[in-house]
Amino acid sequence: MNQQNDSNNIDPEVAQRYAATRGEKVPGKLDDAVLHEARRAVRADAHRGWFGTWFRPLAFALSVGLSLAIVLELSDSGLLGRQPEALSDAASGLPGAAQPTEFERAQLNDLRRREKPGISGNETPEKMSADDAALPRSELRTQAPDTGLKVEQRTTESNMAQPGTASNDVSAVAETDRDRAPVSQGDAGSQPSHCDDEARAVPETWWDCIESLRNAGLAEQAQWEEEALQKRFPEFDMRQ
Amino acid sequence: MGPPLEDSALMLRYRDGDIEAFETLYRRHNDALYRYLRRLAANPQAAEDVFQEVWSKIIKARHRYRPTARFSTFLYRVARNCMIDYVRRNRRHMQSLTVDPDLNADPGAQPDALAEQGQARQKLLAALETIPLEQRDAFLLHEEAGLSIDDIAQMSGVNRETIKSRLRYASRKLKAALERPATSKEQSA
Repeated sequence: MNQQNDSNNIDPEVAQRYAATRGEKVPGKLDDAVLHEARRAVRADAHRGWFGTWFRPLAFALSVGLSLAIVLELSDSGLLGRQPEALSDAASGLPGAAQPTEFERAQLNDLRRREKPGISGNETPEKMSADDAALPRSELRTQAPDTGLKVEQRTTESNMAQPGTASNDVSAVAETDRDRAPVSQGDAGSQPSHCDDEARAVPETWWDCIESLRNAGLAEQAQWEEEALQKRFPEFDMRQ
Repeated sequence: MGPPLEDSALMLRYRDGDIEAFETLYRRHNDALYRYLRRLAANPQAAEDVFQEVWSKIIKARHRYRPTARFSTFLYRVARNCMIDYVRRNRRHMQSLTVDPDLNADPGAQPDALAEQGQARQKLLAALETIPLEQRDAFLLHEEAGLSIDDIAQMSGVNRETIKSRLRYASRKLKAALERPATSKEQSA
């Protein structure tokens, strides 16, 4: 049993006597337990089969594929690499974000149509069609760059409050003298930036309005309104 | 029928799902391993617990097994480590080695011869119990597992001369015990 060069370390009689004690066997219950465990392990291996063999590579491939799909989707939508502000802008276009109402959309379309080059700057307010005159009120004036046409926009709130009041503001705003038409912004809600239809109906009230604009520090606007008044009511004596 | 397969080949077959290969391998080593543990351990229950634990580890390690060394070296290294762990875990409850003479008796022997054999075995095993654990471990690995001095030295983490010395001391003590007249306890056995 042992190597020849090792055997001289143990007395032969001791080795022989010890060999006689080797009759001791493993208890049967231990044999059964170990062999049962060995069989069960082999059955478990067989049970895993194809799934056990391919589970890890398959799971890895699926994970990589899913990650790529997400990255591509984000790249296509342009969200990847944007600044937070840009992301919030993009988010406003997502479903559920605040969308313009039908009325606001109609106003915008109307504005765009008015900004077309076909509307000449030489047209007088009277020559403009009723449709054009139905420009909704707004507080903000924009200037169409190609035509020089000044368009006055009003807040959505005021438009929604009086959606049916087609004003002649644009008629007045779209005067021939574009250079003088100021863009009145800022404290639009607290101070009048122009005279309304009611004031412009009569020269006296229009003049009062112009005075109030002047007193409010809106000299340029007042000057512009004054010229409009003079054109519309040339017989009115403003020096009265 | 060809020559018997080597242990490592059987282990590789078992890794590939051949349960019969494992049974063959197990039958080759089960009794020797059990005796090694039984005589190294403090009590029979410890030997049985460690025996099951060793084979359980061998079964679980089948996919990692590489035939770089003899299977018996691998098996007894696992067994030795398991026994050390077991002793550490159960230090308080460990009792001294007790030898049951009935387990060592040869069933085919005559009553007189049986008594004589029993006395000799009892003497030897009682003497084995008295020698230091390192010497006992070296002796059992040499005689039961059939490991070479180099294998034992590598497994024990000591040099070859140390193992040779341990074996000589163990042999001398066991021989002295065998030449000593039987005690009353040994005679009653």
